[in-house]
Amino acid sequence: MKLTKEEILFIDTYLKNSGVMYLDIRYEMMDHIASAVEQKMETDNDIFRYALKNYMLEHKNEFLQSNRKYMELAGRRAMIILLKSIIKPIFIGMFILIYIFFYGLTNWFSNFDYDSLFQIMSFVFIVPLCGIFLYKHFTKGEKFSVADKILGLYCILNYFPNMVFRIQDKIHNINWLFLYYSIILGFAVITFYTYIALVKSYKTRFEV
Amino acid sequence: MKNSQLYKGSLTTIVMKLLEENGRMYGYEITQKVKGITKGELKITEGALYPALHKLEADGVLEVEVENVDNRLRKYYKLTEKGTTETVNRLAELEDFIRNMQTLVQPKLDSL
Repeated sequence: MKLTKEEILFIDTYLKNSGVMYLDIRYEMMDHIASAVEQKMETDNDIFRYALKNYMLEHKNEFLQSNRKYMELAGRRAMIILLKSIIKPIFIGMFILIYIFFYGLTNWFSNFDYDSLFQIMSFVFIVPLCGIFLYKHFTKGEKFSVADKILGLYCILNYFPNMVFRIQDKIHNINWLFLYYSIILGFAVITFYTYIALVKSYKTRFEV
Repeated sequence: MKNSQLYKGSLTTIVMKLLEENGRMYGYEITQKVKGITKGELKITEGALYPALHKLEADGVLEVEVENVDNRLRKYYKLTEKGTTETVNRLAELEDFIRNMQTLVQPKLDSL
């Protein structure tokens, strides 16, 4: 006996309400539970709700444990992906370009306000990246594990040095300051690029 | 999983062996296959199976194919080239382990 679309959706909502928030792991759990429930309905002649209830009473903790481990793994994968992106030649070239950009403008314009330009450029990335992260968390919107962890990492790594400790205000040497700008802005571009690529690959894989 | 400490270390090898034999499988299918082969003696729990599958995928041992089956998406796992080589090594290691254990345990069994 095969489950209907509504019954599959019921399992999905059940998992979401139980704290399985990432779509990629939920799809897999949904298929597992649906297969087990279908078998239970056939062998025990149970109706859907009873079969699901009985199965989940026995296995819910296992799924939640699996979900916790999946989230930990996603966090590690996000870090590895970002680190691998940072050492790519194209991004190293971008760091250098940002540095030259600030250095060049300072030389061309005597009253160049590099601090304001840096703040504006930072916000161009902070607003969409942290905005998506916060929006999805507050609205409980659909999200994919590694992509979401990348956004979370970016928000933390950007918030503390740039907003809380304001490292830029403590650097007085202009060369070090531009190097700091290059790192912060380069990291934002890497995160943005990696996030878009990941979401695209998830959507292709899961056809959503 | 039954006798968890004894079986835990062999879970990935069991999964890889099954995938080597069956080509590609999905999570629930793996649990049922193991249950069937061992006549219900060994039950792989979801809490042990999925983290193992995800770790193997992250390590490049397994690759994934997603298909729409019966109103839902199904994630199939199969061995990569690296995974196929790794399976041969792991099975050889496991055979060595079993042989050594038999050598260690056998004298005691003989004396019974």
